[in-house]
This record gives sequence, structure tokens and C-alpha cells, in this order.
Amino acid sequence: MILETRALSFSRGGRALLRDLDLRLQAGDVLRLLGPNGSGKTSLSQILSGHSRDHQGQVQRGFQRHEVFLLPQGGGRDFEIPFQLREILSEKARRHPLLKNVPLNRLWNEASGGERQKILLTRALDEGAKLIILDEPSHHLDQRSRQDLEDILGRWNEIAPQSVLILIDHVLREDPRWQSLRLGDA
Amino acid sequence: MSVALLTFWPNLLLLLVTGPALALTGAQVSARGRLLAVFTLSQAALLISLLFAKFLESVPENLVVLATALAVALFDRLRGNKKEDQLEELSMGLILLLAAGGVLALSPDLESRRAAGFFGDPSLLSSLDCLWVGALFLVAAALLWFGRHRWLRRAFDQSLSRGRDRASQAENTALALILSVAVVKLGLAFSILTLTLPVFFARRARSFRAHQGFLVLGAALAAGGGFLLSLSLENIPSVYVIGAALTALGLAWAGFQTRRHG
Repeated sequence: MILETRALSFSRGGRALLRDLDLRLQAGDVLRLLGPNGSGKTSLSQILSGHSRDHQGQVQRGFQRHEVFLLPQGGGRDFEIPFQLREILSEKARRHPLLKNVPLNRLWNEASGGERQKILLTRALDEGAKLIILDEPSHHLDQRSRQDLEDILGRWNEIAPQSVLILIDHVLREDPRWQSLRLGDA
Repeated sequence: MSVALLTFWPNLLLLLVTGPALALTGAQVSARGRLLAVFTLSQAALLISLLFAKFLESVPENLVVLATALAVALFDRLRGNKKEDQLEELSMGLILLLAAGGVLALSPDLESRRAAGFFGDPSLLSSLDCLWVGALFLVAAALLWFGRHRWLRRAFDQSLSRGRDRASQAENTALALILSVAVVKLGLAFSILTLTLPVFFARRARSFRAHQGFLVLGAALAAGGGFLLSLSLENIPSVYVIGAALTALGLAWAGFQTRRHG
């Protein structure tokens, strides 16, 4: 068990955003958070990851802080230093099947959003991530990269059997293996 | 060995060490997006140390400078523990600078020493100063060179997640300390030129290896070569010749990179 909540509730700005959530996530699971802006998706992901303790109820975490990886929107921003993609990865990570079609001699600043996401995902897995949070991963992705991402997330328990994924996204195709939680109506 | 050679060797060695150390520092600081904030703190360190040096005349100036640099670096770290907002960090640095500047304005006899600090020339340092400043920057250069991958990958992670951990705060403190000592002992003009120009041109690199290689070799060549050239140009301070050498070398290298990689 990686994450378990009992009667988890929280409010923000005097507004109750979640009441009495019982949740159980095991390695290889995907939890998708849905809901309009301000409905508490990010707050919930922070509570689950241990970055916020502003809540009621119990949260049991089977991971430590350094095993949590937050992957930024659209693969993140440019970086001042001209890192080639291979230079951000360990030897082992460079051989990961996720990177089969990614040219690793490309510079980070010249890589597409989809390529960056694969690199960051591979790094997180390589560094032993137990919990990965993907915040709006389809943001700024073209159609092909989005399909690639859907394919990866659809095979999550094969690709990352040791990790739980929390997915904050409205755009990607629903997968029956995912758990979904809609926030906004506490 | 002639007397002339004996007198310029310490300065040449100092510049060969400080050039790469500051260029590597510049890359670290710019990767962290904190160049301005840390620079401000460094200048505050300069002003405050000059002020302390006035009141503590019996204490060696170098000791005061180091102690102040350390205090500013610790202040930076304490702030980093509490708030992560860089704008707030910058505003605190500015307040510190203004406060130090205000006190300085009331002590006009410090003006000449302040000017020396801002527009000083490292090639005019005494042999003893060259020795201890050179040793300090040799340690800094080694630290930054051997930790380059780890430090910059951590900066990369921070830039994506916008968070800071203990290790990166310790690195920021070390960078602030290096900058403070650089500004105080080598002058602001030399520090700015060596921190920013190599980093600016190194952006043309097509790999991290080429980037770091240019920083070290380019800065060492330009600082050493510029200094040697300035010996034959009596009326021009060596700091400006070094700046020109950095620019010329950087332009040549950037042109070569463009031709090679398009």
C-alpha cells in the first residue's frame, strides 16, 4: 500500500472542498483528479504527497518525501545551461524503453513538451519514485505527443509497477483502470 | 629570475585561478535565477565590511571582510529557510544595501575605500593578498568543477519544481560567499565581467561538457592573457583589457560554434 486515507476532509478560504474521503492506492495505480479551477485538485495532491498538512482525517503514506516527484505542466520550462537530454539522465535511465524514440543528443531547450515529459518521467522512475504527480501533462502538447502520453499512462502498472501516479488532467482519454475523483462538490 | 617577473607572477596566478572560479560561479548563479539577488547581497557585504573596517581598525581588514561575507551568506541562508520568494529576497538585499549606503554617506572618509572596492583592479593586489585570495578561489574552483554536474542538475530540478532543499540552500550560501569575497577583494568591475561574459557566450554550447569547458578555459585564457597584454598597455587598467579579451574570445568561440552546428 502506498497511500491510504480515512475520512480525509479539507477546506480552503472557508469553503469545504472535500469531505470524508476514503481512498486506497497501491503501487501501479493511477488516480485521476478532475474538477474546475479552484476545486482543490492541487491542494489534494499536496496533502496526499505530504507537502501540506492542512486537513482533517488520516493519511497513511508508504513513501518518504524524496520519493515524491512533481512533474511540471507541459514538460517544464527552458533552462539556462545547455544540457543535452542524455546529460540529465543516468546511464541506466538512458536505456529505458520509454525513451526508445527520443533523440538523447537534443538540447533540453530544443526538446518538445512530449520529449521533456518522457525524460522527466524516466528520471523519476530511475530515482525510485513512489509517488508521481503529473499536473496538466497534456498542456501545450501536440496531438501525437498526447497520444504517446495516453499510451504510457494506459500501461502505467507495467511501466511503473512500484509507483502511484496522481494525474491532474481533463483532456486525456479516460482509462477504465484508473480511479477518478471529481472535486468541486464536497 | 628578474624582479619584474617575481612581482607579476602572483597576480597572473591569481587571475588564472579567479577567472575560471568566477565563470563557474556565474553559471551556477544564473542557473538558479538568482544572479541579481546574490549580487545585491555581495555589494551590501562590500559596504558593510568597509564600514566595520573603519570601526575595527585594530582588526586586520581581511578578517573583517571575510567575517562580513560569511554573515551575509548566513543571512541569505536564514532567509532561504523561511521564504522562497526571490522577490522578497531581493528586496531584503536592497534594504540591506540602502542601510549600509546610508551609514556610509555619513562617513565620507570611507568614500575612497569604497571606490577602490567597486572599481578596484585585482592585478594591483599585494603578493600576500594574491596568495590568500588565490588559495580561496582555487578551493572554490575545485568545489564548483568537481560538483558541477550534481550542483547544476539540482538547480535544474529546482527550476522545474520551484522548490529548494537543504542541499541547494547550502550551495546558494557557498555561492554568496564566493561572490561576496570576489566583489570585496577583486572589485565589482572585474567580478561583473568575469561572472557574466563567459556565461553569456557559453550559451552557444551544444552540450554541457562544451559549456563548462569554455567557462574554465575561456575565462583562464582571457584573464591571464588580458593581464599580460595590459602590462604593455600602461595607461589602461588591466581589468578593462581582461574584459576586452573575454569579449573577443567569447565572440570567436560563439562564431565557431555557430559555424560548426549552424
